[in-house]
Amino acid sequence: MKKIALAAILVLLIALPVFAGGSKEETTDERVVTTVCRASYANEVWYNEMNKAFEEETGIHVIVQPTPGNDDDHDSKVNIDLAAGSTIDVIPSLGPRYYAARVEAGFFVPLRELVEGAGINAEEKFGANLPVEEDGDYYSLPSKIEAYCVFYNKDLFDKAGIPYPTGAWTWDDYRETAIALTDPENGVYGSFMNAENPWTILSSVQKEDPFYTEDGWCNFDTPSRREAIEWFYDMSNITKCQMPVDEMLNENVSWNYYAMAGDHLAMFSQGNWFTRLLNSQADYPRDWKYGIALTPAPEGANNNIVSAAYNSINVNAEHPEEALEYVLWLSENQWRFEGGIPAYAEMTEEDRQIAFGAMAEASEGQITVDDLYNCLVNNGMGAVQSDIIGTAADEYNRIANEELQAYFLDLQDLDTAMANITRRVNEAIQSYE
Amino acid sequence: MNKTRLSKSARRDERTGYLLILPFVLAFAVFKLYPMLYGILVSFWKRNSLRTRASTDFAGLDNYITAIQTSTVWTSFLHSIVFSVIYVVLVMLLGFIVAVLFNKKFKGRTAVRTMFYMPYVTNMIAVGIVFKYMLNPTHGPVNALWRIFGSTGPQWFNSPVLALPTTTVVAVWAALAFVIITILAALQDVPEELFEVADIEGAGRWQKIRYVVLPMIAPTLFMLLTICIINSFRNYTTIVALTNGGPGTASRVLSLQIYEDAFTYSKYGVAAAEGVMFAAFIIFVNAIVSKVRSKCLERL
Amino acid sequence: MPGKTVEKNIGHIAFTVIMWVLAIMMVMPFVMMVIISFRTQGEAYEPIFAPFTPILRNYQQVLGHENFVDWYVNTFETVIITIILRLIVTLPAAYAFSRIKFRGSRAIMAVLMATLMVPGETTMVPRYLYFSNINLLDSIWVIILPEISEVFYLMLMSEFFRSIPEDLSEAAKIDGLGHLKILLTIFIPLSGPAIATTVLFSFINIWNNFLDPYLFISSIDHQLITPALRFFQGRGGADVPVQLAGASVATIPIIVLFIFTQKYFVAGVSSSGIKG
Repeated sequence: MKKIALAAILVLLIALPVFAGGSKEETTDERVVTTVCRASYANEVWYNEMNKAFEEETGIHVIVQPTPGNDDDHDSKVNIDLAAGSTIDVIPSLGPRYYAARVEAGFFVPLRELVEGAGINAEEKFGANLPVEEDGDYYSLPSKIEAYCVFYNKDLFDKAGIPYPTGAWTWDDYRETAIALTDPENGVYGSFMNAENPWTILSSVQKEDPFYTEDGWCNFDTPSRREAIEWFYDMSNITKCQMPVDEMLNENVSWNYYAMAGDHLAMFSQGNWFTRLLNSQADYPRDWKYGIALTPAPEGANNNIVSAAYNSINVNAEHPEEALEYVLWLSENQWRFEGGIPAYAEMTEEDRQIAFGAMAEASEGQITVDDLYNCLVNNGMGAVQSDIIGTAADEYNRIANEELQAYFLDLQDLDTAMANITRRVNEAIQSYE
Repeated sequence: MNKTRLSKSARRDERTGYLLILPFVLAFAVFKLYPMLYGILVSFWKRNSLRTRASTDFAGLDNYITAIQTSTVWTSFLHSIVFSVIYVVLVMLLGFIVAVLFNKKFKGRTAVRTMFYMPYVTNMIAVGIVFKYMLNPTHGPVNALWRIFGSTGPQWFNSPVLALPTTTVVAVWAALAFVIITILAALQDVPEELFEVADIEGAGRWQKIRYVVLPMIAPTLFMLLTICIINSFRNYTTIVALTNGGPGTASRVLSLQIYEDAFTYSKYGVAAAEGVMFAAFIIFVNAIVSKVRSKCLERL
Repeated sequence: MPGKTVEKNIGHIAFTVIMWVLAIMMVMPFVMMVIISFRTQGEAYEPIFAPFTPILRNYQQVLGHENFVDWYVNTFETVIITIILRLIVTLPAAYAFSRIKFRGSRAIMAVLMATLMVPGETTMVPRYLYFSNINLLDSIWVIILPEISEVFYLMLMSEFFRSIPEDLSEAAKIDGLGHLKILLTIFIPLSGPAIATTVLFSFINIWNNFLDPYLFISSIDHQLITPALRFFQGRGGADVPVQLAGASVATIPIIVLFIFTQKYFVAGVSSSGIKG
C-alpha cells in the first residue's frame, strides 16, 4: 500500500511538467532577433509590451533570454557568455561601466556606417549622450537616460507638518529635513538610500572628484570622498535619520524595496526609473502618496547624477540585420514603454509630453508633468556620470561597496576602510597589466 | 614451454584489459584530465582582461605573483581554511556520535535514520533559500525563539563573526548523512564477540569505544577524513546560496574569489593560478593526512 | 533488579524521544519550506503553526514559467543520458581493473585516484575555457560528457566486482568464455545493487549540480532545474513563498526518490570502497 502511494507520487512528479503551463511556439522561418535581459525584467509588463510592439511594427520576433540571479549576476553572466562566443544579437548595457569594458573587449559591432546607412545622423540626434570612442566610431545607441531625483512620502511630510521640498537644496537641507521627519517610535526614517555606489559617496561624485590618479592608480581616499562617506555614516549611524545598513541587511533590502516599504521611509534618492514602480499599484499596492524633488547638491557643485542605457550588436550576432533594426527602434522607443527620458540631444515639447505625460498620468495626480520636467531635465544642474569608469572599474566598484559596508556596520573605522580600498583597488589595477 | 603459453594468454588478457578500460580512460583524459593540465597552462598566460581573453602570450610567473600579492586572496584562503576546519571537525564528530547512537535499537529507528539522511539529497540552492528564510534575524522563526526571552538574537548570515560558521553548519547539516552511513556500516562490521570479550573484562562504555570500536573502524575514519577534507573545499555553491561572501568580505572563500576573478573580472590567468595553487594545497593537506594515517594505523 | 529495568526503560524511552526530536529538527527546514510555499507574501513570516488558507498561486507562478518544462525535461535528459553512457564505459573498465592483470593498471588507477583530490572548484576556469574552445558550451552535453568518466563510480563498481567469488569467473573461463562474455553474462546480471546505486547517486548529483550548468549554459531553455531556481530570486528578497515553492519543486522529487530507494543509497555508500 505504502509502495503504491509512493509510486503514485513519483509518477505524478515526473508527469508534473506535462500539466504545467507554458507551451512553446515553434519558430518557423519568420524573422527573429535575440537579446538578453535581467531575470527581473522578464516579468515586467512594459518590457513584454515593448517587444510586442516592435514585433507588430516590423514582423521581427524578439526572443528574450533572461539570466538567472540578481542584477549583478546578470552583468557578469552576460560577460561570461560573450567571452564564450555567444551568438545573441542585441546586448543591452545598463550604465557605462559594463558598457566600456565590453567595447574594449571587442564584443560589439561598430555602428557608424550601419546607422548612417539607415539615414540617421546619430551625433546630431543624441548629442553628448552618444558614446563616441577614441577611434571615432560608436558601438551602441543610447536608449534612455536616467536622471537622479528624490522621491518622498507626502503623507509622512504632512504628518510631521513639514512643507514638501521644492527647488534647489543642499545635502545639509536634506539632512535636517530627514531628522525632522524621523520618528523612531513609529519606525519612520527620514531618509533611505542604498548602501552602495554612488549613494555612499554622492557629494564627491557631484564634485567630479576623479576616481583615478593621473598615472592610473586608485584615487579613492580624498577629502571630498571622506566628507561624503562621513555624511552617510552620520545619517545612518549617529543621527539615525536614515535606515542603518544592518537593518537593511536584515530586511533583505533589494532594488524594489522602497516601493514596498516606503510607508515608513520619508525620502529616497534614486533614478527616475523608480516612478515606474511607484506608479504600479498592481505590483506594489500602496496607500500613501509620493512626490518628487531635485537631487540635493553640495555647495559649488550643482550637478545631478545621470546614467544611460545602451544597446549594442554582438560581433557574433546570428541575425545582424534584424539586430540593427531592433537597436534603432529601441533608441527611439524604449523610453516610451519603460517610462523614461529619451537620450536625444534636444527634447521636443512633444517628447516631453509623451515622456512625462505618461508618468504623470500613471501616478494619478501625485506628480505632474512640470514636477518631472523641472526635477529631471530643466533643473539648472550639470550632469555627472554615476559609475566608476576606467581600469578594473567593476572590481573597484565592488571593493568600495564591500569595504564601506564594513565601515557602516562598525566593523572597521574609516581609515582602515580607505586603506583597504586603496590597497585592494591598486592590486586589482595591477593585475590588469 | 609452459611459460610461453602462459604469457601468450596473459598477453591476450592484457590486450582485452586495455580494450575494456579504453572508453573510460579516453573520456577521462579528454574531459577530466586535460582540463586540469590546461589549467596549469592557462596560469602561465597573459589572459587578464576581456580584451586578452584568448591570448597565449607567456606571462612567466606573473599570475602567481599577482595572486600572492593580492590581500583578498589571502583573506579568502584563510576563510576557506576556517570553513574547512569547522566543517571537518563538526561533520566527523557529529557523524560518529549519531552513528554510534543509530547502532542501538529503538522505536522507529528506520524512520529516524531516513529523516537524518534526507538533507544529503537536496541541493544547496534550495536549501539556501530555506535557511535564509529561517535565519532571518528580524522576522525568521529561529530568532522568534530569542525574542521570547526579550533579546534580538544573533544576526547569523549578516554578522561578520557568525556568517562563516553559520554557512559551515548548514553545510554540515547537509553532509552529515554521508558520514553517518559510512561509520554505521563500519560499526556493523565490528564482530559481536569483541564486545562480549570486552564485557567479560569489565570494560566501560567509553573504554569499549576507545579500545574496541576505534581501532576497528580507524581505516574508515581516515578514508572519511580525506573525503571530508576534499568536500570541505567544494563550498562555492554553499557560499553563493547563503551569503555570497558577505557581509563585506566576512565569508568570502577562495572558490568564490576564483570564480569572481575569472568570470566577473575576466582575469582568467590569475584565477587559473589561484586554482592551481589551491589544488596543490589540497593535495598537500591530503598527503599529510595519509602520512598521519599510516603512522596511526601502525600504532593501533 | 526490577528497579534497574525500570531505570533502563526510562533511559531507553528518553533516548528514543531525544532521537526523534533531533530527527524532526533535521527535517524542519523541509517542513517549513513546504508550509510557507502555500502562503501569501504577507503571511510568510507568521509563526509556522499559525492557521492560514493555503494558496496555489506560488506554484502556479513556478510551474507556469514558460521555460519550466524545458528545465525539467533537460534535467531528465541529462540524467538519463549520463547514466547510460556512464554505465557503458564504467562497467568494462571496472571489470578490467578488478579481474584482469595488465601492465600499468596500478599506475593508471593511481592517476585516476589522484584526480579525485582536485575539487571542481579549482578547475572551473580551465574547464570553462576548454569547453568554450571545443564549442561544447550551452548544451546539455557540456554537463554529460565530463560526467561520464567519474572515478568514484569506477571505484564503486570495481569494489563490487571484487566481492564476486573468483570461482564463478574461473569456471566460466574453463568453459572457454572470453572476458567480454563473462562480463555480460555473469557480472552484469549479478551487479543489480551496484548499478542501482550508481543510478541513484548519478541522479542525485546531476540533479543538484549548480556551478557547472550555471557557468556553462547560457540559454534559458537549455538550463537545468537547480540553476533555474535562481530565476525566481530575481525580484529581490520579498517573494519568499515563490522562492520556496521553487525550492520545493526542485527538492521533493529527489526526496521521494530517496525514500523509495534508501536501501541502495545506504548500500552504495558503505560498499564504495570507502572501508579502506
